[in-house]
Amino acid sequence: MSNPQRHSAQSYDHLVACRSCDWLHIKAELNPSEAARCVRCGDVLYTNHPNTIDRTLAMAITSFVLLIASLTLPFLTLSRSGINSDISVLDAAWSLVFSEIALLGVFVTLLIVLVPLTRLALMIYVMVVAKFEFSDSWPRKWAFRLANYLEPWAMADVFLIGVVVSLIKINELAVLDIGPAFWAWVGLIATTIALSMNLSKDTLWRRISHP
Amino acid sequence: MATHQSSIGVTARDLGLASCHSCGAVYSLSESKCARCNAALHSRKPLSLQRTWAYLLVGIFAYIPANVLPIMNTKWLGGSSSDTIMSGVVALAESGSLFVALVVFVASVCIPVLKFIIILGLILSLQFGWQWSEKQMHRLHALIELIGRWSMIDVFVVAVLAALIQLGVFLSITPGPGIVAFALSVVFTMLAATAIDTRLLWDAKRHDA
Repeated sequence: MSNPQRHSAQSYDHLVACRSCDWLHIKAELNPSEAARCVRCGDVLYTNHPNTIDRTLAMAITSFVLLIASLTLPFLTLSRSGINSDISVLDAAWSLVFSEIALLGVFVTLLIVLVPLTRLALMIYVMVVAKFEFSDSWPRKWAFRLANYLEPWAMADVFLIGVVVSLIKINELAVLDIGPAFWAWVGLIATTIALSMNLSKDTLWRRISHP
Repeated sequence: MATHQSSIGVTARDLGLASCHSCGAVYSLSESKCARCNAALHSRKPLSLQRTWAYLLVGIFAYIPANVLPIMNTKWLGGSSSDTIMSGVVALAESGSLFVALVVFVASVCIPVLKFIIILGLILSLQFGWQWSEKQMHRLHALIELIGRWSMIDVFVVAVLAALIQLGVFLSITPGPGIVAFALSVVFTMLAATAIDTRLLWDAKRHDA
């Protein structure tokens, strides 16, 4: 085969060390929806969410569609002195990238557009590979590591609170109506939480590491 | 929900083992690369304290211009004003939105300062071997990892206001340099929190026990 395995380290699959405190445990089979916790520090060692691949895939696809919709559809409609303007999140991010303080636009574009899009795309890819057991998809390990790393940097939820605060700040200056993208965004936050709650990373790692 | 795990009563390192930082698979300490996820294997994150110090100092330094420089400039017919983080909070409170003012104050002032103090406390404890309860230190670390990203609220507020209010001659809001410094401060304190290897908090105590 065209897959030169140089040196493959032997892992102790029956053992698990707590990633927060290094305490060593012998792995036990979990019932569906159970979580194994460290006896010393109490952090979660691994979980056994039922149908983790199917459910994570479903949530990742739903989140991806909702994200595309919330970025492009009108998020807010601003009315002031007879002028109405629709604004989408993508328009807003772009206008900031080309403003005097471009760096703010770059930050915002990364945190609510690029990072969430990348993370969801990688998740979909990894789940499809795991579900259909494609064996030659070499970037799958790299993709899953990156998807997990990006999790805290996808800030759809923080952005929503920021939007609510902004609306309260300017409600005396202008009349604002909430557009369809706002509700898609709320749905996106819900499906992203559902994604995390259905993902058993350890199960996925075992599935994608033995093609 | 949680099942009873059989603990061996030692750490992985005590037995000459190391678990992968990325996926958690367990290997002998002599291995250098995880076969399951391809990440480099280390018993503890390399240079954890040095990296935490570096990120934390950048985060603290960036927090100074974040508070001194304006985060937002407002221009209207015949006038203009600049807001800093604190004057924005005060303006919100004076306009009657006390709860929202409190949210912004907690996100922009309380959480960052709390993070600086906790991270500083954790790394100083590790360096000088101060004796605290490792469980409490662990909880403090989990807390700052959880709340850290919520500091970004003010960054999004300024971004949304600046993007929305561009009505030209009547009124315009532009972002100020302070908000970039603030965003950098939040990013670097988040990196500092992740750079801390919590295993070190538990190691420290066992040497003296």
